[in-house]
Amino acid sequence: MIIHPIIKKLIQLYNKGVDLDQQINERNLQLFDIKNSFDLEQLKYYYTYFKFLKENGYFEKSKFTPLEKMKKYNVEEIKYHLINTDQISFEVTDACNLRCEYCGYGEFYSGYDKREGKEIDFDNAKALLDYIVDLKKSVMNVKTYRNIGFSFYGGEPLLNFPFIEKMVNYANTIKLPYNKFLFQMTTNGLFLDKYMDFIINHDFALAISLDGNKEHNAYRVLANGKPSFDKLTKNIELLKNKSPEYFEKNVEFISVLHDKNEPYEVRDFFMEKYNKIPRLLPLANYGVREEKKEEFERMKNGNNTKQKISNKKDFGDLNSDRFIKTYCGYTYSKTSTLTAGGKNHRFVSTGTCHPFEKSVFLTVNGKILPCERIPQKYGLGWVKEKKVELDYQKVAEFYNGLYSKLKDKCNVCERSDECLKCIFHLDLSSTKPECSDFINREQFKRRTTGILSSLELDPKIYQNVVGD
Amino acid sequence: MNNINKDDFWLILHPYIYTHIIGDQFLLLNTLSGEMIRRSDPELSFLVKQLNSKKNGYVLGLSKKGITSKKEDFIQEIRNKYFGDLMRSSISNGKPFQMYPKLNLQNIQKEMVYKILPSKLLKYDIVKEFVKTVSIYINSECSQSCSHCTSSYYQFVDCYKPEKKWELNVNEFQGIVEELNGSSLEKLKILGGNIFCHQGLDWIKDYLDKIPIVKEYYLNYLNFIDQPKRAQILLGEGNRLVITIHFPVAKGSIERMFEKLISGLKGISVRFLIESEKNYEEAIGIIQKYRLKDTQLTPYYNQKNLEFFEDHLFITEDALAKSRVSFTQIFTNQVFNQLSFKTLTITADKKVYGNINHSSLGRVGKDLLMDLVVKEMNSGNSWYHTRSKVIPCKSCLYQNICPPISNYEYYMDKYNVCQIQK
Ligand code: SF4
Ligand code: SF4
Ligand code: SF4
Ligand code: SF4
Repeated sequence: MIIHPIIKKLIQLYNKGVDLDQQINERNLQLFDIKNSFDLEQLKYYYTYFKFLKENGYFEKSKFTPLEKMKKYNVEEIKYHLINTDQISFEVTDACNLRCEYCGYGEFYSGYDKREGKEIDFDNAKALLDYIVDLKKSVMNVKTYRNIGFSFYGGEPLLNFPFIEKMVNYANTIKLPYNKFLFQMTTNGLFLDKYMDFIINHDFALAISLDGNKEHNAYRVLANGKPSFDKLTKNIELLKNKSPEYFEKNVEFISVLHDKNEPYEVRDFFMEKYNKIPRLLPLANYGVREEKKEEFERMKNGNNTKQKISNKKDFGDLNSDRFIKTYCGYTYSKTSTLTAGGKNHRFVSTGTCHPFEKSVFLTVNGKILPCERIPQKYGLGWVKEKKVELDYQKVAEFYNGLYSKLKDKCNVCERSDECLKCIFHLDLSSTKPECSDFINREQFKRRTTGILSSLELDPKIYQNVVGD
Repeated sequence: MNNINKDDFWLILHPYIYTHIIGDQFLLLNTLSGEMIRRSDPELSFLVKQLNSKKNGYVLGLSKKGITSKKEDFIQEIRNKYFGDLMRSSISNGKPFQMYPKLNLQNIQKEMVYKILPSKLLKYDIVKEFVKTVSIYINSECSQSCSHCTSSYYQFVDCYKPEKKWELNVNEFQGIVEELNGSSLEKLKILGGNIFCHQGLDWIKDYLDKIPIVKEYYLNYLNFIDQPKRAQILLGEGNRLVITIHFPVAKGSIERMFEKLISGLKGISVRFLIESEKNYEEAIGIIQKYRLKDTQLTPYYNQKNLEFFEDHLFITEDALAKSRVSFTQIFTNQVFNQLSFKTLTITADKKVYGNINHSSLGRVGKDLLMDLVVKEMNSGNSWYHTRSKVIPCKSCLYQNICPPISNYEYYMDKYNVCQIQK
């Protein structure tokens, strides 16, 4: 908001605890730094305006809830989130028939369990499913009438098709009173030709990984180093011909962005070939091995992918888009923000979800994780010999411990309002973990001034965000 | 920025000011104070248009010469009412930037298009987010003959008895509820005719009891009096019973009813249909006499009481100012009709409506509810029916400030229920 210099001065004095009424009545003009150009009338005008703004809550400090209050779990809460989980997912196998150079289980990364060509144990997976289904029948199940994702991940899940088949058939015998399973799979598609009938018949939501055209897809290679593009696109054609309706409704594409592709070209490729908009993902930048960092950076930013994604020229790391949405009270761009309430309250909570809120993930080794996108070393429990070992108390303590490590950082972080960081993507081994997104008061001020002056120079940025 | 002239100014509007311009007319609303400035004047309208333009974004450069006396008065008014300010250009290097208020309509449209793509993956999202309240008429049979029947239900959720007898059997009912699986359904309203005439009511009640959402059962008091015991059975965790009373009341029966009710009032809401001031006083009398807590006074338009509506319910400029319409509300009014958004009505003949006053979207059993939701979203007939689409509101400066179009208006086929534009 544009503020007249006198108002600025008034705010400063007010914050210092000066009795403005008295000072103005006593015509103590020096105090207000007023040169002759602004007379007393001006001062009086801006003072009543100041009071008007104050009455309307303008200078109120926003309420503040620190991290340790926002995120403190007990047994009941863990149970609650588990019961209401959105998704049950299985690491069907840790084997894969591709050798993608940037694979999350490949040479760039650490933090995952060793890949040994293992397959998940059906009885253990069934035990976990039964356990959750049982919980879902509880009155604590508030997400009634919602689908529950039932997802298969890998390695390449189709390398262990017998498990998928058995699990789906078993899940279909379960009658949940208020929820339905929605089968989902992320696949590299090389075995689609073999199993597509099953996939279509069980109405799978199918996500196929493909980075774009043949050149874009160059990192996704077969075990023998040969490109996978031709085989995959042939399979996609088969699927499309077999059931155009299924292909249209149930299939989506995931493309990873790196130095060999370009977002717009990738999108054009998919629009032209399949009439679909792909989901674009950056390379995961957590858990990267120290010795591989340089090579990784090259692959990630080779021709500056980051800038291409945000497509904000000359903007460095200033993400004005989120800034405007967070700090400007009068812009709206989504229906949900229209239906939600106001904001004069800062909740420090990081971007991490509640334990099991989004997912319950079982690995080939029988580990239970809160999601498939975090390093596997953060197992929260086990399924061993058909028995689920999940100690809610321990889970609560584990999370509370992590947050108490982070609270000193996050509570003073000026990004906490708009934080999207999942703490499992930080290096949590130290007692005072670092966060690459952290900004302090000074940096925040600089960033704000920076953004505002860029907005002054180039109001188009704002116009873009608000769609003008 | 070196040739700053001391006679140059920035005229700015504060970011909490809402502007609406139609031709030579314009309206400025101070969303903090509720105050409005409304003018019909080509010169000033042009000035506001300039301020509001994309190029200027609430900050307009003016030179002393360009400020006519008319503009000067106007600027004075703007300053005095804290709508904006006039500052010497020397206060900043270059043009200051104002985060002017703006609804990203484009994005919202994109969001809609994205959601309603015919994709299975996304369909789940539609149902999940876009169904909140569903009214189901389980039958149409009723032995009463209320005069408001067949007209009140167009105005608000109420029982009705069409000429033909229809009934949803329990399988059909269960089918509907199962189709809503996956949605963010929060409330189900169950209505008839007289729902007690439905053979499967007990089954329906037991079935719904297991579902942890709010259930509202609707009954006219005449039907309630016949079977007070059964009505009590409908109550329970999460259930509400809405009993409608219309005037003139059958004296003895009201007494009998409240005697029976007094012990089990929890979960019962008593609704009075108000056609006149006299009704209003009567209703207040009954509420006080029986110390009713959960009550509603619902205006009912009987084709003869337009005056009553005009006097008490039509919007006045003053009331609008007092209501302190927020930007959220203004932007909401621009996009959808908050009264019908996310609601569906399913009648006993299986027809599905986004709003009962508009044509039906399709039929349950024949169409998928999800597809009908998509149809409603695409049609824009009810959920996205805003004042900017109806006469005379579309040419009125208040179109985004006035409350959304109500069912009364649809029923009267008259959209200016205001004292503002007659
Ligand atoms: S990545 Fe983190 S925040 Fe995201 S779902 Fe997994 S645990 Fe939750
Ligand atoms: S950006 Fe990092 S430091 Fe800041 S709140 Fe989020 S997790 Fe904490
Ligand atoms: S009780 Fe309801 S359905 Fe029956 S006649 Fe009266 S208004 Fe119509
Ligand atoms: S004409 Fe319509 S928009 Fe204008 S004041 Fe009346 S109801 Fe509101």
